[in-house]
Amino acid sequence: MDFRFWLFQVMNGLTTGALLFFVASGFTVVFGLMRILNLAHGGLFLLGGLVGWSVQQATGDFTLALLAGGLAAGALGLLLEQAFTRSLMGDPLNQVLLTLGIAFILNNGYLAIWGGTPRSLAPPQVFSASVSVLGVTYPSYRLFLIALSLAAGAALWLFWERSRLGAMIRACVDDRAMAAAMGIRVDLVFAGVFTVGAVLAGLAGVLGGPVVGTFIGLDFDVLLLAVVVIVVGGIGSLSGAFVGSMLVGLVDALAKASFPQVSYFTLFAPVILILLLRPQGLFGRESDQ
Amino acid sequence: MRREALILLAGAALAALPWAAGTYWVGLMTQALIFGAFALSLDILAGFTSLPSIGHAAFFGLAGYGAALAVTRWGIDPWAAAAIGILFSVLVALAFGPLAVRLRGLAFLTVTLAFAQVAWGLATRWTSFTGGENGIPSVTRPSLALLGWDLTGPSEFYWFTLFWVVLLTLLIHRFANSAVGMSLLGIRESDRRMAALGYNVQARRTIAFVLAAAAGAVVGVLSAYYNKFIGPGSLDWRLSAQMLLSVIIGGAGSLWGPFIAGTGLHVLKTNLIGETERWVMVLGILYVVTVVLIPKGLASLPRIVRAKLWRQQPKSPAEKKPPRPAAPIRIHSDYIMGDRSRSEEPALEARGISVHFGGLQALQRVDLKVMPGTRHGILGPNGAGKTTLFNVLTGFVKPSEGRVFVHGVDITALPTHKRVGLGLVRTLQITTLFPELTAMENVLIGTLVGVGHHRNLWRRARSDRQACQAALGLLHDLGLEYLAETKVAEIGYGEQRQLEIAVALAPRPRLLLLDEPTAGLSAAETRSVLELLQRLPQDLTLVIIEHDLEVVFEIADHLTVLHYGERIADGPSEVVRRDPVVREVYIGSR
Amino acid sequence: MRNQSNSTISTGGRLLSLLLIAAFALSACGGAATATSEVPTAAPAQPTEAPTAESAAPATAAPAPTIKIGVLNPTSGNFAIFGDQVNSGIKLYFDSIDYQVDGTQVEVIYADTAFDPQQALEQARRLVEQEKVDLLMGLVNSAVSVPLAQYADEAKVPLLITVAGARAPTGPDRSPYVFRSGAANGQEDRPLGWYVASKLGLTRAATFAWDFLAGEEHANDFIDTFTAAGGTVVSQQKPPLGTSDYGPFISKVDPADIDVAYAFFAGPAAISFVQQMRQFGFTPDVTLAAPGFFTAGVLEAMGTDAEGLIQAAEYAPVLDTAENRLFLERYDASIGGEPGVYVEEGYLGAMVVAQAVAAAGDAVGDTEALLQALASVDFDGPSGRITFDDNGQSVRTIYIIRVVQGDDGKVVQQVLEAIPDVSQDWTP
Repeated sequence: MDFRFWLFQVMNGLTTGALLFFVASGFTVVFGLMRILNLAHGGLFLLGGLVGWSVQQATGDFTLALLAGGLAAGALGLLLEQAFTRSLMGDPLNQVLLTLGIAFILNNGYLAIWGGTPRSLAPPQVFSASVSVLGVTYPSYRLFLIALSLAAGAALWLFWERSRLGAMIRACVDDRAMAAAMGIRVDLVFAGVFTVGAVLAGLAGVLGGPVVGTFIGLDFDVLLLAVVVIVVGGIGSLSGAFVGSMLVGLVDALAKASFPQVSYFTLFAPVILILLLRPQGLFGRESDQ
Repeated sequence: MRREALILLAGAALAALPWAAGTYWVGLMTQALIFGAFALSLDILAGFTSLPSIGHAAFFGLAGYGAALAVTRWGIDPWAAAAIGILFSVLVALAFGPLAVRLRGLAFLTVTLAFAQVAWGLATRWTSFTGGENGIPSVTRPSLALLGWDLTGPSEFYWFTLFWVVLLTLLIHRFANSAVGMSLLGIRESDRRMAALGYNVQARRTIAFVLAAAAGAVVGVLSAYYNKFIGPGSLDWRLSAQMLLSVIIGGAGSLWGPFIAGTGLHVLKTNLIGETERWVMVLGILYVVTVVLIPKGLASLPRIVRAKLWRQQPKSPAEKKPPRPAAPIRIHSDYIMGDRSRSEEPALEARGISVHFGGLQALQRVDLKVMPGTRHGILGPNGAGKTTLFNVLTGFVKPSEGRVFVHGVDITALPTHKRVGLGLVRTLQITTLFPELTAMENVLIGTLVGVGHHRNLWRRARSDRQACQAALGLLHDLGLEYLAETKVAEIGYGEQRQLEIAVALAPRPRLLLLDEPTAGLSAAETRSVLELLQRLPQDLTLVIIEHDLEVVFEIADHLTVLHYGERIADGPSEVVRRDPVVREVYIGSR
Repeated sequence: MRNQSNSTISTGGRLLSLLLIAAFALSACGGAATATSEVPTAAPAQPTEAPTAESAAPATAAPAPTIKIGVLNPTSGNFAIFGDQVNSGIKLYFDSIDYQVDGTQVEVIYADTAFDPQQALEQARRLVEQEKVDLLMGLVNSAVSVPLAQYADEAKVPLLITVAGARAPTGPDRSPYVFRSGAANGQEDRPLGWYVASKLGLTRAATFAWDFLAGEEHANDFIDTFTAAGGTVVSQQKPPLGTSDYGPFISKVDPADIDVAYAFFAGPAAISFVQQMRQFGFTPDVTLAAPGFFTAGVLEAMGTDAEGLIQAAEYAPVLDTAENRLFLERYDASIGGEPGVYVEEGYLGAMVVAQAVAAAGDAVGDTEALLQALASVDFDGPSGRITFDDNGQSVRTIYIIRVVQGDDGKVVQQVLEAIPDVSQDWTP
């Protein structure tokens, strides 16, 4: 149990956290803004991965796969938003029923289109080797993922806090009616945010391809983790999503390494503890309860 | 009684199934009935209490495991084993429930999911004890030696299951209509209001959690005996999700919808698999169509059909409104207790109350003394801290500094509902009456506390003679009797404000705190409310927040004026209204 | 106010959502159609569901005997791939014999278990009590096989397990109604442990197996014969079921300390595992060893990361026997490409049923006769000879396989040794 061992685990945790952040950021902002719990978010993630895989098979190019995966998920997201958000507003139980129904449809639809074979994407050529970090040999693609999520987190944060559009979205989060009265086209903001969230999920599906692969069922696995992340982080909070993702990734990796004999509980037992001690999540406001 | 008879009738009709259908349908319906009752048990939590759990299968599965382990590992009689399993589940629910119900919405969903996943992990991991993912086979069914049944045949076990399911349904039905069941509906709409009426909200959420778990445990044991097998699948979140979906499809909070949906979904799924390979997608489409076409679930179907058939228009309450009684009506003094102590000790006292919200200082060392039987007005412009002071007095907000006393008893640390027990009741500024209940039922929720029947789990609340008489009496005294059978959603705003006062009187206050009782009312409506207030018994102590000077001056005999969280004046009405500081600050700011 | 605007769905929105649902519904039908056409029937004249005896035979003649077979496999959810493969193997064989065995009509009904024991039980009841099948076959995951074996025993319906390996159904308490044509958990691992230690001379091992009963059964049998042949197990790692990141477990082991790593995973998890063993510097110096299950359906996705992997498996497409050539031809003609191990296991299961039906002859309707016929099955399938031991467990040839890079750059399996007549308690 030396330093290298723990460094290794930390990097593993961060890799998982990085992937989770891409999924959870869109998930949490959509919830914060529109009060919609989109349980089909995992389906958007998987669509990205599957489309990305098909494109990589056809062209051999990872960047194209990434673009295609993001676009496909974004398009589906926009379609769902336009078709269903009106019936989604308001009743949270109906949201569960509707979005879970869509998640089942997507899951089974992917099975019909892509078949059940698990697939794996090849990482881009530049990142196919391993590098040495402080004496630890580590896949460079995973380091790239961590760096990318940091960059994406920073960019999202800047956009959120500093840009005019970000301010408009925050205004909508705080008070929808007031925002509308100030001349903000709330419907456009909703469509935009929902689509961007879907694009992020799709990108995550492709980015995760070389690490966790893409297969039927990953949609629900990822969904469960994303729910945990946003609740632990604080619902609707972007920084909460970031910290929550990294925390879930790290706690799971480090606890599995420390107590492998209880590895079934390393994810969910801390979740119970955190929520009982801090019901609103780490970054949530009391009023979000 | 009509509903109970209907349930029994449905049970009797279902009992005929083995003569009408083959063993396949008998077996299928056994499991389907189990799932129907399972969905109904979740409805107590997700529907009635608005706590959507996606880990309810934990209690279903843990009870099944408990019974199965007791039978197979320790050779205990299946009847005793069933009791062990159910008890085990209930104990776990008792330990986990009080913690979990502190959470709401998505956080509650997640914590129940996490809990069920831990239980699932335990069942899967602890192979030497639980059999791991293979589960426990050869679970022996109980026998009914008295009837000469061994319950091995499909029909016998079907009847056995039907018996328990009908019994459970009756019990849940009974519970739902009891005082506690009705209070859950209230808590779903507004937990603050229920606390302000004297209900211990957390305790009631815990009761709902534990009862739902207990009902789930009973069917969990039935399921283990029916399948003669239990495995980790019975703890899986997917099973919980299927039940939650059944509750939603059936109509959350309805008593028959979730049962039908839980039963129907299982029958549909099992047969659909024989029809199409894409059954998962078909079910998904069904869910989506349900939301789009009947967003309130199966339970709303009869209403929709009726509306389509007869095109009924809701009756306008105005048509029913009789002329107001000209003469003031005497309040039944035996119901409203008032404060007859007449001592020189203040009825309500606050000493040095300070409240900070983050950096904001909402109240600064505010003192308040309310003498028994006075009409005490608290004045101040918006943002002066009036409502915050009320929140401190009634326990919604914990003060950063200072203490609160009722008749000399320090209540600073008491939760809201316990303050009601000392006679301290408040109205809420924004009307939070329960829109789906009638005026009578709204008041009834309060009178149940007034007559001390609010903890009853068994008696139909609507048939509680004492509480109902008290409620009708109150409505009568306040001249609101004509609204008794009207749903609040159909009552006009001015009348809702009056009803609000009736509800606040229901728990038998000695001290009534009124938060802007005339806010948003027209001049005529304000007059009605004022008349009503003036008719209240003189020994009932009133504290009124108002920013309408006319109202306060007309009612209050003592005034306290707040400005930016500080008390700037206090004294008899005639003195304070002439106070130059008050005139400048208050009237100037308007 | 808000409630009102919420409950009213604009006509446009509702129309769009209903259109979308309709589109999904159409794609559902389309999906179902393509899924079934993946396995085209050999003879166009032969429908999947054989005509019933009454309609097929002239009214005067005695009705031809019919056997109805209910197939239970997961065709939705995470493990749909395995169920689809087994089902296509079953269909391939019955198609090839036109659903006729010595004058007995064969009828096959498929049902989805979705990997869920509860659903599998319900579907078994439906097949037996509603569809009146004479025999059940299939099952992929262990967890489903235990309650199903119990049900078969109660309902007195023969059950032929084709893949699921849980030991209990063919253990000492087995039901006379249960047989298994596939390998029991550990049946491949026993020869594997012995082979790795004594033939390859790799004696220091770490085991990586999912932390559940099946994982335990597999790993323990490997360890049993491995240590008996002089090997030492340095470390036993047990990641929870469903883990996809093996970093915390892999890094518990020092690659310099071992020369062989045993793995029991499947599907996407197995892909991740071989990738991570490469990334974390284990392979190629450390040899990977695993049962056949490990690469089922995912060998191509593993690619060169799987190179050097040693497996003990029930089947490999490279076997050069007449039976296997015929199987490969049929598969290539009807589906195309190379079949995975589970296609063969389904095909073999169908062959076992056909053999038993043939042996039972006119007494095929008699369950006792059918059970006896199953117990005395003895023939050569694509994967070699198969018989049953006293517990209804198959005794088969197990192949030691090495994964190597083929001429076209793709990885292929190469048979190192065939070990005949391997029982579930095999010892060298």
